[in-house]
Amino acid sequence: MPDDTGMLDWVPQSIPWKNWHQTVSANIKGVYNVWYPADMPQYGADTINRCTRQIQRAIDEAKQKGIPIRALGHGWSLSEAATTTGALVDISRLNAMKPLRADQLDPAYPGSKDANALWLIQGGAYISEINRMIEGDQFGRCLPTSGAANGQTIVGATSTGTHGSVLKSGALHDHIVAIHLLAGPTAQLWIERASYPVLKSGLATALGATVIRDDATFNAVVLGLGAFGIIANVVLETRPRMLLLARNMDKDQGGQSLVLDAAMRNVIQTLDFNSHPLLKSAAAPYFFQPIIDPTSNPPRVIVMLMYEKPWKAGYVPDYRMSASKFGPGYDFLSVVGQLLDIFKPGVALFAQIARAELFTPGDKTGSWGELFGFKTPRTKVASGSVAVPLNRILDAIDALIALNHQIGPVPLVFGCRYVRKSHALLAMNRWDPTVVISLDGIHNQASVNFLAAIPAAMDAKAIPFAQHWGKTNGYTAPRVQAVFGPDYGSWIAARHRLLPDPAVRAMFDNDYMLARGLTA
Amino acid sequence: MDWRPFFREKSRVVAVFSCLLTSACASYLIRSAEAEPVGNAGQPFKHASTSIAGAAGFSTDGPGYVTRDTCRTGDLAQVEVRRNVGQTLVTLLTLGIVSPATIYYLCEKPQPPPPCNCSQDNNQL
Repeated sequence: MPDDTGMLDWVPQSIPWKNWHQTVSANIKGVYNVWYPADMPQYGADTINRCTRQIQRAIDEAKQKGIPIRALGHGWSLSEAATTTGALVDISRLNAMKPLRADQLDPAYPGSKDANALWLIQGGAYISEINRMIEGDQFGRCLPTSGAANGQTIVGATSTGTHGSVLKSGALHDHIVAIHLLAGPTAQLWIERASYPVLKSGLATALGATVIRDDATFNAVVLGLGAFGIIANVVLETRPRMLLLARNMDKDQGGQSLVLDAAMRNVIQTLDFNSHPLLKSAAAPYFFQPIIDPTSNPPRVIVMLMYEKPWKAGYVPDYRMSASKFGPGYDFLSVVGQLLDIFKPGVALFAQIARAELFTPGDKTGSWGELFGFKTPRTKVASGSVAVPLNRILDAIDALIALNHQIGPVPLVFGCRYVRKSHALLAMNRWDPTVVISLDGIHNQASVNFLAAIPAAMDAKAIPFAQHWGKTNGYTAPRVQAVFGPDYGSWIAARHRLLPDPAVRAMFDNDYMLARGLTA
Repeated sequence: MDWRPFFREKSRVVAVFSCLLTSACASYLIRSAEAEPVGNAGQPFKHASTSIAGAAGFSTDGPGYVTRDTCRTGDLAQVEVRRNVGQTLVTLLTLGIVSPATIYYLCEKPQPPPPCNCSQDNNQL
């Protein structure tokens, strides 16, 4: 057995840890960095076992120290979901991936058996890395959906409920079909749905993992918020690669700004694109996102549509970060937020400037990985969301606009994203379809106040809603129970089944979970 | 235009300008267009460095230079040089002879071997 002790290093942390977007800080004891084996072996069972031993060594050390521990991907979450008072395990250097072969699949696997359709991926792989790998000519695949940015790790994104706005797809976690979970210093589990078997038992045997095929257990762990242990590897379903024609519009045929008028409201609520003179098309869009600026009156709307096109032979995606309009002083955005707290009339003006700078109307064609590519550098942003059933989307938008008038103006825009229903127990895409109103913009006191007031605003209109776990949310323990109902109880029960030792469960608790009743 | 709210919130104005004085007053960010950045649990590595007469000078965070060898594997993916008001003043008052700055950097993520799609893969994989 090789000496792999160098694969794990411990970095004590004397200053508060901050997330990527600098909206959350936590006093932690330190960080375990886990490295891929230095001899760069192929990604297979041997390599997985070597990585597993180091991750479980970290868990065991934390247990000996009596401190909690949590896995961290890229620190991308805007909520406190990833925080701990103990140790963070940075698994982002565990980023290998490979397609599974047809002969490795369970004969009852109900998904596509196309070559390269299923990928075994280490939990630390960034979305950007997966895009680059699978979209090339060698494999010819792409992600069915992803979040708007590409910097999250696959497990970080799926464990917190990251979604896109693909009209016929669920969220990213809905494309995970098998999970390799390290549920403590020694326990290893390979988890699939009973209704959706994926792999023959050979893999789990090679890993020494116990196989669990159970729908409720899988549906709990796949959006597990890091509470079940450390997810080291997952199996992800992909789709044949495509090109997307992305069409961004902010004006009608007459050159007038698009606004939230009756025609636009109808499309937002019915998805009947042919009812709108500007949006009708021979083909249904693959992706649709209207973005509403609540600071204008009537509210202006930017529409982002994407249409699926066949891949062109010889097309080579260009994943390089495009020339950013943010210059060396991009950090000025953080100051802008504070200035807008003081000078509220400046919010609308800033929104206009930001729209002109950041939004490029017109058409662009590219692969999934190109269009959902690198975003702005690390800077302070505000981001929350509220998910509602399609038939209440207009009520929700109106309530948010009214809230903006009441306590704003806030430097946020409302992006409406459409997601199909999930099987995951704590998924916010609970309705079919769900519309997630993504609230993004400048972080300041006004935006913080606005995001905090959302639950009461939804309650006042009796709008059923859920929120994104990885963004700023207003979940409390009673609200989580109310939103998720029996699924909440099933999630808690699954955690007790997989982590029967209370001491081990407590290792993966954090204050975020405690405040939301998830440590029960 | 109603300016009254602006003046009503004097304390917040003071807070903002206090923040401006104590936080970075100049920064320069350089990022690779392609490299996947990795830090310490998502955070950039920090390197406080003071250049003396153009040389690397001294640092409170290890050797005076940040070079590609600073990263355990791979190159640098992102470098940001920040100077706060105090550091800028020292630089100005010493005509650049003493030039303190804080460098935040991310390393390029090490890449594992490309996937083997061969039929005789190892260990059932």
